[in-house]
Amino acid sequence: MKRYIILFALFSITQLGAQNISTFGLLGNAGNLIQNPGADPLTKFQLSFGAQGTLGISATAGELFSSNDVLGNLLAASTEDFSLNGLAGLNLPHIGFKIGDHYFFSGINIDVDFGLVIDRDLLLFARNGMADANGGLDLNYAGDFSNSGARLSVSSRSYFGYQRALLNNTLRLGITYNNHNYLAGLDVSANTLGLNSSNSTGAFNEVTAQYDIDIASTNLFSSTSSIDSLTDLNYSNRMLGDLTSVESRNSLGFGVTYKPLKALELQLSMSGIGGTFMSFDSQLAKNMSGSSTINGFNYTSAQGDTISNELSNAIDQFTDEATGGITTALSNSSYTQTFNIAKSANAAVNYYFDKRSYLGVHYTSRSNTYSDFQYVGLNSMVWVGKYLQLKGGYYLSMDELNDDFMNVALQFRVTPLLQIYLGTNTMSDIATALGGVSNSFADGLTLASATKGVNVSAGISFTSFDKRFKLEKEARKLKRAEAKAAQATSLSPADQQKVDSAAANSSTKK
Amino acid sequence: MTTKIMKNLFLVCLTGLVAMSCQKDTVTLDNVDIIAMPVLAIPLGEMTLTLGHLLVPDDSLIFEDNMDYKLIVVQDSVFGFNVNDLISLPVQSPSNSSISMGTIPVANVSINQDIPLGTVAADAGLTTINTAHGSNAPFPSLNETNIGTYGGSGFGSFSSASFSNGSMTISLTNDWPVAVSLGIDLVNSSTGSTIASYTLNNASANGGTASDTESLINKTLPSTVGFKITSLTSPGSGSTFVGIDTTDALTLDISSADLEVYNAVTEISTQDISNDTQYIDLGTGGSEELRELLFSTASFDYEFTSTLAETLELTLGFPGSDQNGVEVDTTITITAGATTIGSINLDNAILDLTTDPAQNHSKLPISVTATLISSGAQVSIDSSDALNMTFEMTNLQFGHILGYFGTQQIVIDPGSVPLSVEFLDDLNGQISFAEPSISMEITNSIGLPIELALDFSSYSAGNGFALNGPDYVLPYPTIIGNTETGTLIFDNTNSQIVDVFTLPKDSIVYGGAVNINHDTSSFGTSNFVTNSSSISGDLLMELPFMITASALSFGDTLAQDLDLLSYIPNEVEIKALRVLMATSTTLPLNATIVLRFYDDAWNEIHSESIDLLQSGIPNMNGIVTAPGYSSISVDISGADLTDVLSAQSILAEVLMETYNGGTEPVKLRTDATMGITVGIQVEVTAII
Repeated sequence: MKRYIILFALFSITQLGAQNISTFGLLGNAGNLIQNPGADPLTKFQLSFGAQGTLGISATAGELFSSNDVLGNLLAASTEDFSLNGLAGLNLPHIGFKIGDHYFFSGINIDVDFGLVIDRDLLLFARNGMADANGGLDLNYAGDFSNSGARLSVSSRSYFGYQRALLNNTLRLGITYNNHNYLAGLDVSANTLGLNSSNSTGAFNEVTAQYDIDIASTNLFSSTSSIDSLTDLNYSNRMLGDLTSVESRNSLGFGVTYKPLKALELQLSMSGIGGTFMSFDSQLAKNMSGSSTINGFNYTSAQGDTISNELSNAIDQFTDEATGGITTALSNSSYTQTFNIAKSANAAVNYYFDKRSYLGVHYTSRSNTYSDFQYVGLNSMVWVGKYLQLKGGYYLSMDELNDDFMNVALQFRVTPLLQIYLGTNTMSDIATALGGVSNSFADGLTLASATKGVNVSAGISFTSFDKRFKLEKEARKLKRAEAKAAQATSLSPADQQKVDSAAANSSTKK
Repeated sequence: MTTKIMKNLFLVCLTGLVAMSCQKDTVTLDNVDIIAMPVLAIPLGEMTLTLGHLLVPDDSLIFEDNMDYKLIVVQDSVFGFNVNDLISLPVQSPSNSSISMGTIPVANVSINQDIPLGTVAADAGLTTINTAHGSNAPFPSLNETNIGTYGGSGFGSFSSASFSNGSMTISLTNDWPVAVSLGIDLVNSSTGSTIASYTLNNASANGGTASDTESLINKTLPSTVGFKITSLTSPGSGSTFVGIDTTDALTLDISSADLEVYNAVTEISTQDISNDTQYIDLGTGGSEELRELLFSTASFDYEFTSTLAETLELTLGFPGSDQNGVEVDTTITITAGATTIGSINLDNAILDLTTDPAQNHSKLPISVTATLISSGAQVSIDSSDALNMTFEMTNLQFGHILGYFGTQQIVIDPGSVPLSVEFLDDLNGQISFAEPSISMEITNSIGLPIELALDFSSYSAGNGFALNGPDYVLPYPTIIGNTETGTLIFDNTNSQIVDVFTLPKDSIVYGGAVNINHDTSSFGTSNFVTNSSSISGDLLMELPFMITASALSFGDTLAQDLDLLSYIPNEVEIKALRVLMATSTTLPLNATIVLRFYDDAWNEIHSESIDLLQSGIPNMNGIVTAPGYSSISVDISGADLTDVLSAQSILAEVLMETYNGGTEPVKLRTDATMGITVGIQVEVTAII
């Protein structure tokens, strides 16, 4: 199952950037609104930029670095292929604004997704060559490296969202329209990649190398018809930025936030609705295939031969065959790339022990991706004034494929209009690493044994909160004034005017 | 208040959570390596070599249909000469001779002259006699002188002649009635000069005669002569009456004998003036004897210059010759006083050179017959008149020559033939050929016995190994025009050829002599050559590779200034190396390669001995019928591998021997094969 997932991950391009646990639940954060269009935006205008980076490998740091023999550690720790996946997602930008009870938001996400899989057999070959399980030379060695491959994709998502606040702001319904665009990408997948040795005489072997590799790309290279060699896939043939073939899909998302009680909040959101996967013929589809049989030079003398020359030619031919069989020539092929629209769902029940601080349970899932997950997290966020939000949670994986993690995020206002946030799902890994660095940098980088990757989210926004903060401030002032008035017999004319003015602007008046 | 507590509680929890999130189970990324220890097996290759492709035929190496290798040295015309080396006709110098006219015999002449009595009486004043004419009367005695000159006619056959020989006789017949004695001078009637004086005594009366002969040597007779009676005496009749008739006459008959003139204006009769045979010496000056000569081309050139008064017919002949069945005989007309040039074609003429009685060989006979042709007219002749002759034989090319060509020795120009076989050049040890041979293919069209005394040696590093073979008489034809061929063979039954061709050798040196007519007592002296006769000998040296060889070795430097370690990245360590080889061969050869590894001071630090070839198994004829196999595994590891990789130089020594230690002759055949399969197994460690 895991192996299947990895294969799926390698060759199925998925837009993942929309799902970010770090920003889920952060008030006044664009990422929160993107994940749940029904979330309280808390702003009347917001322009934000965000980024998310994720890098993960298929082994833990403890497995990889249990000794200084990384390759040996990796092979000893796992019987699976080694994979590395990464994502860099950018929000460029997000704009939201409020008109009455209506909130509109829009933005563009750019995701750069990459992955690499190295077949375990290939690692074994690098480690042991043609040795058998006992370390002895196996002249009938068979190495199948065909699980190896690489992936790179660049996709974008343009979204437009609308939220309507109902029931005196206790119910917020939101919907997003998403336009997913596959911008560019490269798939390198091995249909066949292997090295075999056969032995029939008991002493000598014949080595055969085969490869059949599909190389597909879209919007990365120009002059696709003239590309007939691996070396042609170079910078001079680049086409990035000239998007002549953009594959698009649309999807919908919705979100509901309902606060039946002042201290209770229910959230439900889904995205990727209607946006199933799409497949399309890659703009560039090449196949690099061949085989090389290394059975040594073979020369049988013939009449008229100059033996030394012919032998030299035979050896040269052997060398050419051994290396020349591994040709970099590319032949035209067809390749169907798939572009998956992630389906995500979030459900949260938050208990607000303060006006904007809560403790809740967060269920989140992602499907139709190479890294599906289901987590249930105990999530909490503390609103420390209006300048700082602290969010933390522990997420329990509900499947066998993912590990539990702790998420930490903070968001604070640098200036009244400038807000930044930072979050991670690998807090413990980062903390451990940072702790190790602080202890003894000279001893090398210290990683938690369980570390399998790193996840960081960050962003900056220009935010103008809605008038609730002002009203709350005035209410607080009024409350203080009322308290003060309760102690006084009458208001001064100036105070009376302030009270009247506040009463006129108070939303609660409605 | 509750909110504040919750917030504080949350902050405490969160802070604690973060703090607690620092995991205790950690790993440190220090000295992280990627260590690979692959063991690899790679087949390097396989080659199958057929000897026939390795040792390809060339000028010195061939193989026969039976696929046996044979080392061949062929030297065409290792000796040879043609007829010109044996015999040649000397250039003939012009030959001059002359036929002189000499004195010319002249036909006898006669004149009859009557002198009547009455004329004499009248001239002498003897009137009584004339008076008594017709009567009988005593005839008076007479004693008269210088009575007169009578006659005056010529001889008719010449108008003037000076004699070198001959005489003239005057006979007197006396019809007078009394005896008479006369004194008569033969005088030039024109000048009156006396040529000769005659005395005719006592010619008796009435028919009595008297005569007198005088020599004409150095006398010149004019065209007309007279008879002058210088004295006339008669006793008379005394008293006796005799009949007196004045018509009675004294008759003078003049005749000549043995006349030869040395100068004359006369008529010459047709006559042979020369008949001779001359011999042209064709001898070479040596012991050669030429007996018969066939000219393929020849010209007998002549030039005649005549001062003769009459045309001369000259007949030239070659006695004993045969030109198309006819003896060569030519008549040349030489006009008087002129020069006549011409030639006689002797092409295809067979000349007999044995006709000279004085020398029964090498002499070309030429017969000359000269006939002076009379024109019928008087001509001026002189004994010094002559015919000058010049003869010359030109364009001499003989067709054949029979004879004895003498005893002669022709030295064979020494020569050298390289006997360098590339693959043997660097060998130590020896290869011995069991059945070598040298044959000399002779082609001979010279009909004379020739003995070949061949000197033949091979050389190795300056040491000679002589053949010591027999001297052969070359085959030669006994019938003219034939060509004889034959082969002279030197092999291991009649020479020390095995020693000569125990290889390696540097070269073969040949020489010797060709002796001609070396034994006339056995082979006679009847030799012949034709103009195309020649003799040649082609050398054919065959060394079938039926060999034994032992301790053959050669060595060479495989590599120098090696720095194998520099090719190995620092991160890579070769732990072990195994070279696998499997060979099979139908060569009757065992071969071992010793690889010697040296450090930079040429100290041997390691060596590997590899039994590369295991000889195939030959049958009784030395032909391999079953291949030999060997399986080799060269394992190098540890310190040995370090030594090998750090070696600066590698030397290879190959030791070879034929089957069974080189004790049994084996054949090297073109279909012999050698198959080698090579693979390597290597174990490396790479730390990155």
